[in-house]
Amino acid sequence: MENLPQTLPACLEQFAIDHPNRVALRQKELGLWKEISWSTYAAAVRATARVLSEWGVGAGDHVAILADNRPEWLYVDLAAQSLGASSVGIYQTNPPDDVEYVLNHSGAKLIFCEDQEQVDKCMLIGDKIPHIERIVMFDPRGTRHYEDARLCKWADALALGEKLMANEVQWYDIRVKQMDPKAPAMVIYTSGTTGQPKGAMISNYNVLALAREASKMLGADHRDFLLSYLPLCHVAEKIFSLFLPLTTGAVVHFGESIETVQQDLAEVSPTIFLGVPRIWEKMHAQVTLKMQDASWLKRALYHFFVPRGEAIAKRKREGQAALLDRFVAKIGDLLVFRPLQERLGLRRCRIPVSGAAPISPELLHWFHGIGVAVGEGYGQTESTGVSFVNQPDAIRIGTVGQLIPGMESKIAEDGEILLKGAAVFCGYLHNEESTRQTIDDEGWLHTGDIGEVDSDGYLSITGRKKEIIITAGGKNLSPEKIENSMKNSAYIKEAVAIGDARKFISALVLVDYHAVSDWASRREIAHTSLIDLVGHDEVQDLVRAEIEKGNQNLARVEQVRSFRLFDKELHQDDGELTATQKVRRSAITEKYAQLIDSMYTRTP
Amino acid sequence: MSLLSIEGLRLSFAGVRALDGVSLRLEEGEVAAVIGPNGAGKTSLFNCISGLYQPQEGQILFAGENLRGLPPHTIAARGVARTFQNLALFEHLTVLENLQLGRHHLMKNKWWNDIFFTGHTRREETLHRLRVEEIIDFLDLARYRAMPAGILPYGVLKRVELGRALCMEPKLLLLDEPAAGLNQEATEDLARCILDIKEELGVTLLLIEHDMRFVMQLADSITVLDFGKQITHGKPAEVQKHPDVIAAYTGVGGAH
Repeated sequence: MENLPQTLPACLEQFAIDHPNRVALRQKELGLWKEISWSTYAAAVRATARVLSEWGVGAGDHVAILADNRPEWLYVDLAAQSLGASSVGIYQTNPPDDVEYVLNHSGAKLIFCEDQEQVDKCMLIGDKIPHIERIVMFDPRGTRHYEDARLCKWADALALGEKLMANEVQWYDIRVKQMDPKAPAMVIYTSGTTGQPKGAMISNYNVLALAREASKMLGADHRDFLLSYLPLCHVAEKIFSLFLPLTTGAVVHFGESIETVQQDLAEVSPTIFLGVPRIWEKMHAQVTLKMQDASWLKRALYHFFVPRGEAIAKRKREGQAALLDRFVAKIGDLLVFRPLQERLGLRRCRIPVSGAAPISPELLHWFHGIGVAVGEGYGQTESTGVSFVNQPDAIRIGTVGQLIPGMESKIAEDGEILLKGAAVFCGYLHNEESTRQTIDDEGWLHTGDIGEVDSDGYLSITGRKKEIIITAGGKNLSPEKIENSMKNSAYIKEAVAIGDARKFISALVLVDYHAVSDWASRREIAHTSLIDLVGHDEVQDLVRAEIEKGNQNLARVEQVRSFRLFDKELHQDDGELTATQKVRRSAITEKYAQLIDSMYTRTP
Repeated sequence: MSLLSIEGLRLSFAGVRALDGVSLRLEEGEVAAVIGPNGAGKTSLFNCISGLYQPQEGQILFAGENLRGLPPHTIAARGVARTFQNLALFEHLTVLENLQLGRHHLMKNKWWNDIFFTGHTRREETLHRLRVEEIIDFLDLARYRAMPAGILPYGVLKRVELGRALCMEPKLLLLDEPAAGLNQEATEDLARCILDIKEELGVTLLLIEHDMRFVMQLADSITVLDFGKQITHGKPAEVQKHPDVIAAYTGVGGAH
């Protein structure tokens, strides 16, 4: 360990020395994948650091980034760290008020914006963010008439940095050597399903202690390909776009845009892929729907092999696969699984991971069945993103895997999972009180999650401590488990389980407009929008049947007995979703109180 | 010198006067609009400029050179591109292929080179593909690149058609009812896009449009036609107040 670089910028410099010409990043531009070598990558970070310093960024400062995933995101992040400052990622979906909150709370000096749309947000809140000295635009199109003196183009900034750098070759090396690995290097705002976001400070020490162990556990190396597509403001994507690649040398790919993820995925065919449950649900739904249009032969093969695939995958995990199993799996692979995997862009994927939210076991069984052995991981921003993970060759479905070496864990008396170790964060920015509530005097991080660890060290999560439903009958239930069981359906996009102090469990359901609209069109049910779609009795019946299916995976007390459909999409702007598109359960139960009551007052 | 100057254009079909002495001047770098009620002769004017119709009288000068009597492909090669009121795309070709068709007249290679895909052909292909990709990026069409046009929604197809016209590297772009059938949001996007075409690509635009608000905000000058005759020409604010224009649209009062 002693000789290894102690910070991410130092890791990057090391790669630039050891493998200057090897590909570090690829970016799709104008239809072509352009390669960026480690030396180019490092040079860009140095130039960015130089210009940031020229603009007065120093130790303890903050630099905000409000942009798509792109190499420049990484350049700015690493450059800020190298000066002892911290990067602050902001979600592009955030409305102007939320952008204002993060900028003011962090006191950022600079902000890097994707395009006109994001610049407009800064213009709108212009007078309320006085400490912002410069607004840098990656894509300046459409802003030629803007006259704000703070505006600046990325290309100009980089050119300035390169020019200044040319005369002072040693400048950057000195900075990187002077870096304090234990100082905060990035602030990650956690959306939180309640209250204002909190800025978790993460240091290089946190990151590297974790990343080196995690990449060993997953078996990642420089031959691996990754696709950067989840928001880089979230710790999960930071792990896969920054931490892992800078410790292993894996190649990170940046697609064309958020809308082209599917095509980019098929082209890159990554070997390591992180999906949030919504992504896996969508892939499953896509296959299920496509199968309805497939020829009878394809359908027959699909329905023959997928259940068998699931059973065989289960026996394989238990080490009991027979010779016949291997044979059937091989045939299934040739006829069904391989084309499916190719279509999904997961053919080469060795390490498919699900994280950031709980996923339903049924969905994982399906993916294992088609030969994509997705393993679940668990973590939170406060533990630098991940603390438990399933190793690719020892996956247990329904658990989030084993503890990453270097960490300690224990289950408190009330069932809460506590963590301790190198990856525990440095605290919340400007919020001593919350920090004290989260890390206790003995250094244990209180995760707020309830779980159990089995004899082999596999953790299973029961739910959030604050969100446990206690029914009128006194039963403790996890809403996530119920909701995930519902969301297995291709027609259900979101479900909110209700039942606190009630006689039975009910759910507010948001249908997947795309899937249900397609279903309705096949039956010639006229509709033009979500609101008239959910008004049809046939749609209500469809959802009822899907909920019945979901109920079969649940215990009697957990089963959903009544439901109502949302007649609008849930939206971050309406306070119904967090920036990571998680449901704000408390906001929804408040907003839809009448609708909820109607399920309990009417005689069924 | 005006980029486009039209004098006394007359066009009739079996006794019906479609255009009756229309004159028009278009300066380089401006966005001009032609408005008027149904059947006023707006599309006929476009068809005369792009060579689909042959007017009986009058002259059409483009950058000082005569266009009248030239076949459509020659006019296109001179730098006049257009879109159609009803989309004219190839449904079974992908978006990329439809756009590449816009480059066809710019291909200078000989067919015998193309057969053997010589180095020269390859370089030319790369160059054209690059330009097409720039247009794809400009119009934000990347996600549709590989999809056949036939399955795409109307609003996207409008953008594809615009893209194909841009691929022709026009000096003058004729847009026939670009906002027709678009919702509010798509119309606003289109307006931004037209301004970008004008300012970033330096293309002069002439558009036919029914959506008055759209025209008034976007156009530098407006020509009003009614029954094949030019009623007035001027800045949006002047045109809006002109009594004959109000009459042509409402059918009340005025000089008719």
